[in-house]
Amino acid sequence: MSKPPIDLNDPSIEACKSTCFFCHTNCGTIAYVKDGEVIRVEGDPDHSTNRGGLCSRGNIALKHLDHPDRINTPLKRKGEKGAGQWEEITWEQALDEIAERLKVIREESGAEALATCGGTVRTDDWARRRFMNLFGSPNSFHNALLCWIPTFMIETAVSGWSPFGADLDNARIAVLWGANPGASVLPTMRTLTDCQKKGMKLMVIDPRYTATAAHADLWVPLRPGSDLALALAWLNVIIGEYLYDEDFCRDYCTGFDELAEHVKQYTPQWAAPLTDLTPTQIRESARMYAKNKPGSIMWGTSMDQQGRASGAAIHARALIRAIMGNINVTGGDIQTGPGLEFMVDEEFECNDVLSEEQRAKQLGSDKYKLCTWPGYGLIRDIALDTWGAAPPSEWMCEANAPSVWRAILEGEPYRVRALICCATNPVNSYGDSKVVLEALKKVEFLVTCEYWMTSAALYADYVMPIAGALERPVIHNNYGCATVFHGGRRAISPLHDRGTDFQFWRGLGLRLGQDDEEDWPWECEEEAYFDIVYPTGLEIESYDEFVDEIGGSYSSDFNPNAWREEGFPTRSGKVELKSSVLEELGYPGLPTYVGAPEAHAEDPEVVESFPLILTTGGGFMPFHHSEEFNIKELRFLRPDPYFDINPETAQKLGIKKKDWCWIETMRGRIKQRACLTNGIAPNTIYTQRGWWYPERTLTPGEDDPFGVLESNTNVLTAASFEDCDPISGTWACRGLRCRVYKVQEGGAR
Amino acid sequence: MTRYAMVMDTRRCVGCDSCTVACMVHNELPLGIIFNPVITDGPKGVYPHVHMVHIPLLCMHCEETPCVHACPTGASQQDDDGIVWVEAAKCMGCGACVEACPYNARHKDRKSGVVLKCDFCKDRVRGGGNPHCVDTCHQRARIFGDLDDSTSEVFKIVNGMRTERLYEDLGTEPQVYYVIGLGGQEA
Amino acid sequence: MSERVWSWPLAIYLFLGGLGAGMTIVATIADVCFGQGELFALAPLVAACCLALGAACLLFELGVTLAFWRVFTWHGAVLNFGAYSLGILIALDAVYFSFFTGWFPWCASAEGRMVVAALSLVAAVCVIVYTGVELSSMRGRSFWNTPALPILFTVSGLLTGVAADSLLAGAWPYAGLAEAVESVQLALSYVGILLALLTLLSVVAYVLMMKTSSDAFAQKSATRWISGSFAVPFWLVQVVIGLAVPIALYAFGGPVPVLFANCCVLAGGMCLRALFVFSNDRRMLPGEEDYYEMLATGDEPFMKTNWT
Repeated sequence: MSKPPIDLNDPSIEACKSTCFFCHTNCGTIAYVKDGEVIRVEGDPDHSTNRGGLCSRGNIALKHLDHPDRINTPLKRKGEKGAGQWEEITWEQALDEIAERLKVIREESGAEALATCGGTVRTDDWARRRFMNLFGSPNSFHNALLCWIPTFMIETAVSGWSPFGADLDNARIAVLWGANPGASVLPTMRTLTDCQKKGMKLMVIDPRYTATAAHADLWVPLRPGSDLALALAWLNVIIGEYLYDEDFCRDYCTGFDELAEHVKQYTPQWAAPLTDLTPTQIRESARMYAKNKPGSIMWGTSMDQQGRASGAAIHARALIRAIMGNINVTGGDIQTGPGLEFMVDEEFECNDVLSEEQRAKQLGSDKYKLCTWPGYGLIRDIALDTWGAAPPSEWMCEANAPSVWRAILEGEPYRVRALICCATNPVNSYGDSKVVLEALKKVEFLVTCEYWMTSAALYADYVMPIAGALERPVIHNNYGCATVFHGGRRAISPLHDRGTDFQFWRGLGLRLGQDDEEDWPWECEEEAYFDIVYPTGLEIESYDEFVDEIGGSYSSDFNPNAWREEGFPTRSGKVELKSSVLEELGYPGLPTYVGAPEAHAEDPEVVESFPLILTTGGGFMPFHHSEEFNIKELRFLRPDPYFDINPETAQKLGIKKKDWCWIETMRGRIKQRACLTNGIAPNTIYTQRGWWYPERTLTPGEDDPFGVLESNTNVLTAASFEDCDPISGTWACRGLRCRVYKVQEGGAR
Repeated sequence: MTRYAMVMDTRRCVGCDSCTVACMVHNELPLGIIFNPVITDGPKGVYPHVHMVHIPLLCMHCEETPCVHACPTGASQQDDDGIVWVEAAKCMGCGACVEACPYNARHKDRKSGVVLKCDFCKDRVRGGGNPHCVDTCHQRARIFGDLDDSTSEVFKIVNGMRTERLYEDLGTEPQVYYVIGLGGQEA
Repeated sequence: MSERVWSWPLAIYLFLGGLGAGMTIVATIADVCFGQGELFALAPLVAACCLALGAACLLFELGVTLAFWRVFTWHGAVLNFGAYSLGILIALDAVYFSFFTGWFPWCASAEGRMVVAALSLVAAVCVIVYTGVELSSMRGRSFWNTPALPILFTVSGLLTGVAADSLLAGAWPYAGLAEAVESVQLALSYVGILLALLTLLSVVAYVLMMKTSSDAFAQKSATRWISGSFAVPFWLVQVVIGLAVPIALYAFGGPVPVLFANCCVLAGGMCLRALFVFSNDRRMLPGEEDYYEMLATGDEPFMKTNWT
């Protein structure tokens, strides 16, 4: 039954080192190309990230490449918005017309009336930022706030650079705080499992008994949204029981005494009712981390997704690591600083071109200051002073997404008239989907760069067909925030009339008066990527040579012990437990307790009508975000959305296995099917993310195209201004209140 | 001699479905047929005292092959290296082997009418490679090799650790060995 | 999900196989031991037709119908044994029948008829036992995998054979058989009562054995028979109509009740085969059922969409 193996001796078959593109881990792949056609894609056994492994998503690369639903040529809207009637046009015509429209909007309303939004790295986002800066708009954004960016920025505010490089090989414990690599980043899971075998302990803090938790030495099932309470209680235990690293706190930290005083109030007894853990569980877990030194607290998205409690929670977690002296030690969490031996993204972004006046117009930067120009400006200056290199403004310094949707809908503080979505369907991936869908319907001029016709693309004026993984080179460099990068080649030229996002931004820029020598000197990605690699001094003459000859990986040396002599890369040279950057922005210097928007609601009416706690946003195989729901091989395995509910709760509510149920929050309700599991607390519900139904045919005037509001968990999430984290601006996917009841009207859909 | 076998390290498997999809895609299986499911035992117990283990499956390439014995046309056969496979040209699709297999490893394809099954990616492994499900596994939970080669990893595990086989009482002598460890712990 | 490849056609095949073999056995014994062959002259012909029809049903279960001949290119599997036995039995039945027609030169040879009858008897025993062995050889199917199954199928097959032969008794126009028909039907009724009681005993014992088995999946099937979705066909059709009613009617006697009894037996025999074929529950590992339940069924809209 199995197909014969690829004959590697066949001279007509080229084994091309390419890159997987179905999540931002960017595993290495080998694409076997024969006569310009990719005939097979496999994991690259020589790639340091995945060592030959390839997850379910990576394995469907060829199905994705040839999928009949792919958009293959630029589309121009013919009828009403959302009518689904299109005219096929050329790239030239599309870019000409889009540029013309943007020119008019800029003249009439200023450059800031254009916003662009992105998704998970499937793009060269420095190119987008470069375009935006040259165009003059500060309103570029991703759903970055849900994913690492608040963590990076707050940790950088505390210790000068986020210590995200875990030295697991030498760690005695790894704490996964709201992370489930077993269903998301499999190479990380493999490293953890390997290290566990060598004796490392694994602690998983998660309301759900996940695939990863099943492998843990200790599972800490806290109430969703109570991470801040737990982190503060850990600080209380570690300081109260003198488990912290006294020398490190004395010599390399500022503000320890104030912190010690501050966290006295946050006892395990105090945290117990908030976290649904016992004081003993809290103490034992804190001791387990503290007594197994060195150890790592790895990043997970959970704290980035708790709305107003996010910033303080991330801050508290950073302090736990710091007072344990687990930064930049063997087996701890390592600050690599930016890549210094190659060009980092920030150097491509032309940030200096954007005037102070335009920076000040960045949406949301008046309310949420750390991950927008005020905070990023501070951090960028400090980094440039220290290293001469900085984190990118793309991701780290973005318009606040909920603020942009409201600017479109309400025109406050000004109206955003044009929106370009690239590699994202915001209805699925941003908070409070109903608002987002309204904004997409309402925005005056919408362009999407897409693989598929999605509920966002449907309302576009132009849809640009974007090339996928095999059709473009990829470079993965943690946005230039680490000292390593990996790259893969383009296996084949883009099929049909597809193009890359780089081509799109460059083409648009040139038509808007940007210069082809000064501003866009590279005609294709390979030329730009060669500029990234060039400073390494490797003996190569092209980017492809870097992949073919060098193997596509580069890791520069850095001295992890530099801090002992030179201090930490903060303004004080020390780890600022009480962060001067946060204080300068007007935030408390120390993390102070605030309940998650709803998990700790006190209003009895709310508690009564929404008795259950909702967590969402956690990934599940075999999908990634809202992708691959139209790949039959994957969808076959998971045809319907499922939510997790404890059997005891289900019984009380009369819900049986596989029943379609409504899950409802104050913002709306969605349908998913019941998965009864003892791996979740009786008061907690978990919903799967990303669901839409690409198989649905469109009917004119459809309110809910492709069922994007039917089972999409972001209908439930909270993104009002009050829900958002005052520091970072992130919104709440976890620790919400909900109720669950069976779908009555005779069955499924 | 060569005797192919697979070891499943359930302490490592996370149930990510990668192997299942790799097999479906690379072996171009008709949609609906799965050679190598990964099932989940659990979470068992009552919250929060639970445990869970993922069990990867595929054809057990039994030494005592009920399927080959049930085949009335000689299409189902076992080679000297232990690989059990179906010669499509000889299969009349009677389904006797499907009913005979205790492991649900055989599937009648509605379209072609013949029975399909995992053949350990025989062309690949005889060329020195691994089955697709093994190569694609990030966790290295599936380990493939030659039980007659004392230097192989499967030999060392099967002869050096406590392993279990599925439904040993049926006397099929499966050649897939499970390293059992609940909740990721050593057995 | 248990992979289901066998369904109604196989059940009919097993029923007709048992029936044809049972008819042959009863007819040849009547001929060889009691010299009553002429009474059942039509039995071998009808048996051959039943067997051929059963074999044709089996073709419906084949994935590649036209490759059916391959079964005669191999040996060693239970199915091969069955196919050969079945083929031989059909041929022997046809030859055996020919003796009663008087159309052929060999019709007069009493010795020839005895030899063919004896050979037919042997082949028929092979076929009747084989129908049960085929299912009971499946190691992973808990409800089948026991030596009691061939016994049950054999007894039940004989019972249907008796009933069918009783229906056919005297059907071939020989002179002077009318009185003999009544007496042989009476004899067959006694045999029928005996076999029906045996079948009843066997089937009840079988189901109880499965119900008390240590194998959870055998228990599950048994429960389905006793009180689940198979309870109505099992209790009503198989036990009451197929066994209890015929016992009563046979005991009551008379042409019409016996006619009814015979028909009931045939219905019960068919029901038994179907119940068995649909009880192919495979042993499942923990979590396996949940896994298969979660998969797409094939009816989902996305499965019918024109995607690769």
